[in-house]
Amino acid sequence: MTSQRTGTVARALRRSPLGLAGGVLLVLLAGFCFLGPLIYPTNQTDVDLVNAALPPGPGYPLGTDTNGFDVLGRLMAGGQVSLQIGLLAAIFATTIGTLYGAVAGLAGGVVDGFLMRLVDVMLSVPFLFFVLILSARFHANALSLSLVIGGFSWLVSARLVRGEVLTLRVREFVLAAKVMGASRTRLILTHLIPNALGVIIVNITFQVADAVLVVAALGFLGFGLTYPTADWGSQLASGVTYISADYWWLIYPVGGCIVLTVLALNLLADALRDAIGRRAD
Amino acid sequence: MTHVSTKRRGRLSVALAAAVTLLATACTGGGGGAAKDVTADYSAQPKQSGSPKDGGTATVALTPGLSPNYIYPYPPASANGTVIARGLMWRSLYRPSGEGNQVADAELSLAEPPTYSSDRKTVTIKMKDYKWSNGTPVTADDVVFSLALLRAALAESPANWSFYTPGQFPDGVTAKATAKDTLTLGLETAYNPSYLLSMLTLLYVMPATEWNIAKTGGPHLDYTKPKNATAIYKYLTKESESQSTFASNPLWQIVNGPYRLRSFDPTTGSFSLAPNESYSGPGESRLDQIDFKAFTSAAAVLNQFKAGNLTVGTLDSSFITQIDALKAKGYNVYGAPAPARFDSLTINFKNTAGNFDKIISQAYVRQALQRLIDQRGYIAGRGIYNGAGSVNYSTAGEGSPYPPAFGDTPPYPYDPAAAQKLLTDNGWKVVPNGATTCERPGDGPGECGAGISRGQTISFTLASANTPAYVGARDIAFASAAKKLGIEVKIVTKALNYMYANYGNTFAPATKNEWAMQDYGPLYLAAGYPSGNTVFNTEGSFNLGSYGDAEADKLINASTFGADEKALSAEVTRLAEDLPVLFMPTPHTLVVWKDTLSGPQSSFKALLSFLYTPELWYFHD
Repeated sequence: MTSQRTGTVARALRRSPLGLAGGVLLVLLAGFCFLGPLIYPTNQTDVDLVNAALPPGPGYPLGTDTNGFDVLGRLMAGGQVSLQIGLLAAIFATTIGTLYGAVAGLAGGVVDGFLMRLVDVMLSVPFLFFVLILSARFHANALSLSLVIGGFSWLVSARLVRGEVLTLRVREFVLAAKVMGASRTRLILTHLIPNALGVIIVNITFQVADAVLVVAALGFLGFGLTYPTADWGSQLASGVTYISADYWWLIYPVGGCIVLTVLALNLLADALRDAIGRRAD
Repeated sequence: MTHVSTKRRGRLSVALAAAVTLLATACTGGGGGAAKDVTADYSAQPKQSGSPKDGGTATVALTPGLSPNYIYPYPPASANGTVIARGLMWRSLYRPSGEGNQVADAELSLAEPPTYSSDRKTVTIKMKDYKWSNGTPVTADDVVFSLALLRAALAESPANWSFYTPGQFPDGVTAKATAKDTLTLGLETAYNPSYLLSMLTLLYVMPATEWNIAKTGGPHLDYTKPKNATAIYKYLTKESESQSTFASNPLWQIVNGPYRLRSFDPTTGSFSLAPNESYSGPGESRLDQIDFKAFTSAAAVLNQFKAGNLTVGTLDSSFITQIDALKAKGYNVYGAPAPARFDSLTINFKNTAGNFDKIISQAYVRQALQRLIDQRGYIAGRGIYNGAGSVNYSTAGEGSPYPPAFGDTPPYPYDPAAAQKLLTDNGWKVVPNGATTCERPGDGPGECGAGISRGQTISFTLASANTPAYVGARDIAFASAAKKLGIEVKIVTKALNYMYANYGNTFAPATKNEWAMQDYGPLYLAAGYPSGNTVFNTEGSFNLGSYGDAEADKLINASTFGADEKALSAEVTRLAEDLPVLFMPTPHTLVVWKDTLSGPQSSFKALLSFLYTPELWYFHD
């Protein structure tokens, strides 16, 4: 089953040059963030006022920020945190959403109706509004931010998985398993979720992209992570403060990283979605 | 799948649009360049000029992050009120001076300077010929009424007036209107005349005849009876909760200042003022309207200046590089440190998280932390003050007539090595970039101090205001310096309004463990007499971090009640040496106004202290 799925992914990428480009770009960005510091180590904790806000030049390929941190090194550090939060939030959201959607879809009837109306209600809560209220009271760290973002992002996954389960639950192999006395837990974990994995994988890719954007938005609004932790959104917010001072190197590199990451994830997800759609057809 | 597909297209569009925008604008940047001495660009104040024209609307930028939400001049602490147009609709008995060398602006005050009996316990105040907007004179009875309502507010809660210390003004003060235009204050304890005058600059005069009611259309009450005064206070504060009726409620239209409220937007806090035609004070009120606009960030203010949408406003030193651009756009720019302003990290001596209260109560710890603040470096730093700041180690601010005794030689200048020595000499094992721990517990010489056990680390939370930008930048620099000494400073960014409402032990004791230090930007003491009373005395209502020091209390008492003018310098010196706060350099405030607007130089200099006198302004060609 796994090799078959891997093959599907590989075929999807071969058939979609854009998807392949997205995948390659994502690998490059991840390598930049996680392996880059090994090649280009920088001090991202000690403020250097003498060398603050320097434009790109010798010794500082992308300049320094207003605290004297090397911008290239900070992009790497910030990228690590942003990608980690994105991935963690996506895993959390997809896990909750998948289980929730599978239970609702399999149960059907009143239980399904109740669970999905609950999802509708939660979808009506403005996410940023809620997070800003939370952030006024509590201090965010990478883990809590991931959980909060994930805690709001599982709703879409739940809807998608529930829809998939509604089609799967009347298929012969599920009915056969039921006749053979399989419990509901077994049906969900062994038969339904594995067969909805295509939808889940596509969704998790989008979830990562969404979470990266949310982290950036929160940082931009001034409620992201604070020193000594760096994230792309906070970097961008800090840079925008000085846009009038023409410190362009504080804005474009980090803005470019956010755009490229989201673009790469979307291209990849797009290719996977197309591949899974074809297989279903 | 349609859902995913639509969403995907949207995302891709946004991402691509952003990428195109980035590429399109990537060539517009100018680059940095070396830091230069910038003070010459703004230190000369333009002179009054031009032939005055009648009419026109001036648009004024409010301080970012501080949107007004209250109209009654004495908002209860629970309302977290920022008052609309303070001093423009209801004048205080004495108008605060915008200069650093005097307490009150004699010309703009409602009364002549007070005269004192030989024992300084009887004060006679002669009212000037001012009128309310309904044409009736502003009398001594109005002042008695205002004092009665201030007392009623304090009877509800001492936190209702941040300038209050129990047992002090207005406690022990009897006010009597001995004639319509003569007020006599009887003082149980004689005050320092300058201090008393600074208190009277905070006494907003309200209309006794129209506001002495406890319900709409109700009977007029004898406000000298505390019960009645309380009922009136409750009624007026309740009326002030209805933001949608600020501009329509007839109560708020009776003013003695040069302006009345024309409109108020509860959503943003922006408001408009129209001249009070009956205003009888100085100034010709040539402008038709003053629009005050609320902002959430200093960058937004700058953008509005650049768009030419603002007439007057202030900017902080973050925008020092924009002076030339603003001048080219037709603005005057004048900058200086505001009188009696000091910037600091306020310490919370009651914060018990991580045993912080025990650690910070040790004077050597505070001294070590102060020595980590590189004031000159922050001023020079292009990301912090950008050259537009002044070194300051006292509560009196730069250029005060009450300077500290140490003059230009501060007791704890930047010296990380000395900071490290202070810790090691007092029983701490300093681990640079690690965790410094107490090795010699105990309260004897060379030991960490009472309540600090072996292995104790130094780790605390610093709440940092999200605007203006220099606040966050200097806090990060401080945290970085502390980290090098093995001290963990956890910075949390908070909105200014949230900090004002929630971070102060006198009015929000429940949140005492949320902040060990806070940086909300500047604090302004009374220009001309910058006493730390109410801010640093043990019982002070604005003693946010519960600082207490018997010696400081004694000196504050002397400067508050004694006749010796030098007592305030002694107080300022003690506070600078004992460090109730950690001193940061003072950023220069930039006052920006259109070059088609003019008025007396003092009226624009007063903007450094956020004192507005638009009745003196006019447009010219």
